[in-house]
Amino acid sequence: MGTNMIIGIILMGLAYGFVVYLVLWSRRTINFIAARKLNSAREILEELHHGR
Amino acid sequence: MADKHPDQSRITTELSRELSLFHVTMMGVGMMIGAGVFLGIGNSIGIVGPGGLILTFAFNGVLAMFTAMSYAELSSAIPKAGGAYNFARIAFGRNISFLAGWMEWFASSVAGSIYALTFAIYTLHYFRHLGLLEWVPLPEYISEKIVAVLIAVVFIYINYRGASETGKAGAFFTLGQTILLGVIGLVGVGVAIVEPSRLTNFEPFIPNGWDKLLITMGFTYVAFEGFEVIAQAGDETIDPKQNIPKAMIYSIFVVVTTYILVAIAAVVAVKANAPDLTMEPWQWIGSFREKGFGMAAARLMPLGGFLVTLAVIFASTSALNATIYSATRVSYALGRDRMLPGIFARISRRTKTPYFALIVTSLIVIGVATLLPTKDVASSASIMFLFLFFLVNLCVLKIRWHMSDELNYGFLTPFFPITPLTAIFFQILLAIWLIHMSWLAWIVAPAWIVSGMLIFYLYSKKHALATQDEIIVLEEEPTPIEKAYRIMVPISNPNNALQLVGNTMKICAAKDAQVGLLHMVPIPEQVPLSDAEKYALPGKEAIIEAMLYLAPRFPITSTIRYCRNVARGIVMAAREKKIDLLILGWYGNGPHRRSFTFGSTLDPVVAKVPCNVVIFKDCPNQTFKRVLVPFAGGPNSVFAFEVASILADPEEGQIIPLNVARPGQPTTDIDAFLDAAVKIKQLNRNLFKPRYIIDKNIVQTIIQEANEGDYDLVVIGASRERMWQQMVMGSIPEELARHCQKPFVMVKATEGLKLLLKRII
Repeated sequence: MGTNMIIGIILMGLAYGFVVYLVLWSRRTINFIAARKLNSAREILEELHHGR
Repeated sequence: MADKHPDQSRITTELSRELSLFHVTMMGVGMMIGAGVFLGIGNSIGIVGPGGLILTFAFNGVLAMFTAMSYAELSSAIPKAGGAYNFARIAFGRNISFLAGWMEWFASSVAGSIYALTFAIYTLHYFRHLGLLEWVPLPEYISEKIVAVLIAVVFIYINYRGASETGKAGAFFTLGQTILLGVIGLVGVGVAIVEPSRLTNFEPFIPNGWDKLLITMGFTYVAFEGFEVIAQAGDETIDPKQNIPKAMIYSIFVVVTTYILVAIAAVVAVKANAPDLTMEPWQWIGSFREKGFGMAAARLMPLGGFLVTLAVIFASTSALNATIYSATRVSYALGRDRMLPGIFARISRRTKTPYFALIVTSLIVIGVATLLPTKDVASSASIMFLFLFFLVNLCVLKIRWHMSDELNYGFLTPFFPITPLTAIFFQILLAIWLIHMSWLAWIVAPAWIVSGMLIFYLYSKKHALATQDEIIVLEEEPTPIEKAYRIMVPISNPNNALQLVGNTMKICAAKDAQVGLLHMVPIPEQVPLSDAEKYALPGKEAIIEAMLYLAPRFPITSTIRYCRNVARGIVMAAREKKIDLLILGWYGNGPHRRSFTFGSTLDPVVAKVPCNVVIFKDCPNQTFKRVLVPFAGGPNSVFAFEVASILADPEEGQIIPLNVARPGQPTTDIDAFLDAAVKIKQLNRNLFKPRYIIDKNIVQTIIQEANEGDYDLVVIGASRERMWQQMVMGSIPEELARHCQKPFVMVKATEGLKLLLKRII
């Protein structure tokens, strides 16, 4: 297995893993905002830092 | 005629909310898995090799996710038909938003033409392969055009039938194509597990160098343009605040996973030692270019070629459905706001679809499919899609920075602003790359943009309706003499105008400034902007009072504007008039919510206005003898010293700079800091009598000193921490503002790079 392939597999894993992470984070955030009936960005940011 | 113009009737029609999360997700997936992946695999693998092909889709997935999150944030807060067009109108105003809508309309319509042609080409090829078309006397080229028009007409009719049919039809086709592609991808992975020797097809992993990735990423990026159609569905989606952002994120995930799976399947499909193979498998697939994926799939499994053809048919039809839908909705939004004639906004009462917008969109789709060379026009559409995505990422930056307190968000982009800035950088790079793909595209795209600008200046500018988000100047009186230093004083009512103006006068005298008095008239959402005049009376009285007081002494301008949001109105006015200092009065007892220091109006103004700020709280119009200035260093403290020296009695006044440090911590060298500040601001050093206090509780010590000490004014520089830091840890100036019982002034200095950025953005 060449160096390019090792680097490539690692990069692909990181990229796909990051996409999965963003999907899960986004889903959780959308549900969190809806459950707490938050509105403005200020309120949401504050609750995100305090509330979870 | 059963349909009514929206402004001509009290009974208005609106789009029905019938699309679920599943429907809108499938619409996005359907628009993305169009022709892009089928054309992309064969072409890309020949350029970047087998490993590079997988990386192309993985990296593009990350970039597409960044833009999808920008779309998700904006769509959750502004869930109306129009997508990027609406975002641009709110962020940048009419001209940019018209261009956004104009280009989006064209790009989506032309994409529809391409999908219709793709359907025709693959369908006819398959029937020919089966020997079913030998009786047809027409040339292949003409047959393809006829079939393209027929399939376009079918989906135009489906779109006319209404949102529910559109969503359900699209969801059916999209589900079919995704399952087919998923099966092909999983078979490929299974083959690789059963026959590990096929994994040698990935060698060499990236034969032509890593830089080629940029080329293939640009080539296949259009295969990720689908969230626009989801944004367009905002008016018709059930619970759009949750479902629209979710649909965008989910659709990207489905598409990235599918693309990576089918790319792996394509690479492992061909046996390296097959007797008829005279080259490496990746080279063999690449040699067939756009048909490469189909040829590979035919070797992967029995009926592989048939399944790919079936998938292409499903993909092109669902993408066609989604693009007609998207193009129609954006032209509807242009008509709704009178950027295009109002007839575009007419909605059929029976099917609840914008029928005229659909008719004109259909003419573009059919006209382009039959008359124009598709490759170059497709590249033009790609440039415009890239521009749209670029614009949407700019919109998310601007709207978050300037309007985030007045919108109701259902989602916020993480790692802000890194994600939109990264997307912007790569979108510029990929758009530039398209020059190498088609020089004609770089003629067609600007030509379409220029024609749009002509329409805007000849028609839209005169007819466009004022939206709820615009700020209108009601009355403005110019200043008789222009001064270099400009102060703006927003005035709300006659009762507190004079108190504020009295203190303003001292600063004006010290700075040799001109004063601009501003009254923003907030108009409730339910009240038409045409009735705004009724709300302006108290503001007029306040301004007249202030003018009577100030006019004999200083050059004065006065402005009355109406707006939907006072904070944004003040920030816009300060930016527009290039104000150096904004003076605000705070008359409340404190905000009801802990997320605000001064309240929902003052906090956004202080954070966003591109100039220095002074806030007066309970400050009578008098000279002050003993002024306390708690400080910890930095430009805000220097500005606090300057303001304190202006407000202090020049003969008997004393300013007490106070520094409180925790035990064992290094203390600030007050004298050195004072000397530097005095030199910079040319202050009277004799006024300052500094004090040190050592105490473990800094906030309580300062509040106690301010309230119990012999002071008649407290002046403090605003906190320099970021918003989230303040929210988590609290800040001394904001705590003091809440609890100080003496006349209180908080100042904030904005200078250098920060000032430049605020003025530009």
